[in-house]
Amino acid sequence: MQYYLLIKFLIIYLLAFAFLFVINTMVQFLPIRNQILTSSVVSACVSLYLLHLFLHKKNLYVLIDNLSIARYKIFFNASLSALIINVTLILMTK
Amino acid sequence: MGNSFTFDSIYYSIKNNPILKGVYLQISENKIIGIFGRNGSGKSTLIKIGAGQIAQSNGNVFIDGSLAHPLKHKLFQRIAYLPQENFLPRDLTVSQIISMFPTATAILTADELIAQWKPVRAGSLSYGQLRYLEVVSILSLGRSYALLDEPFTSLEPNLIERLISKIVNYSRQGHGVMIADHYYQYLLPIISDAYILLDGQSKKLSHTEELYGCGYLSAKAKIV
Repeated sequence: MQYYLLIKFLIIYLLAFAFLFVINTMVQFLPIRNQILTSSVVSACVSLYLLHLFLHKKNLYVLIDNLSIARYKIFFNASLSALIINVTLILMTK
Repeated sequence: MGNSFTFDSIYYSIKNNPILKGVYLQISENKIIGIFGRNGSGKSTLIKIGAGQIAQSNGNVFIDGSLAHPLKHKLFQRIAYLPQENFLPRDLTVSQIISMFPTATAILTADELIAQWKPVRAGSLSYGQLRYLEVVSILSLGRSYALLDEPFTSLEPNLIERLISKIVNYSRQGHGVMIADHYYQYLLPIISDAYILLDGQSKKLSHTEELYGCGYLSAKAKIV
């Protein structure tokens, strides 16, 4: 269940990141690292909220509770994976 | 109050519109409780409160003598909750869904109907088949109490009878069950206590014939 939700989150996150990065590049003329940083932070926040909406709309909170998975763990894992991707991207542009 | 699940003076209102006004109800181990009531009487709301999905405006829920609150996650691990709406992910196959229930895989696979559906995506199952899968997976969790909100919706009579025997077996194993459903013909023979929600309050029925008097059943309806 946790892997299933993590994959869903990463798909949403990467799509949001790609979209924001392209928009950012078109309207701002910042160094690439700054653009990655702003895009990734905003997309992480947006995708966490979208993950919550997904869980709520599809009634998956009930499944999570029935499987005795703490709700915060889902969001903690998602945030952690977003952070790892952010740091990796920033280090890659060094 | 030892080994029981108790709703004590539960009040719930939405935007000053009272839904529940002091509901008292108790589910004991080995017992099946039936909740009846007209549409909008608050059956689903009461079950959601019991499962910790929403918090009551006032009153207490006790699980095996301990005061429960939605923030107390561990206490609700004794509860299995079947919501009115589907809750299994429709983009996964039945086999993948079964693997999500590690403690219940053997029980789910032992059901010959579910075993047949294993390679099928949950979204491709009919509403009734999906409902059957959901009810069986909830029962197979083996929690102390199961709160079932309309488990028989859209099910063919044959599947309802299969579920009835599973619910009775579950109860005999020492679990408490609370069922809210309009299929009173199937429920009345198996429940030990029946309650009706009227004007936001619960009333324990001493006799099933009382379902007529409170306006839930018309005179034409027959109690088996």
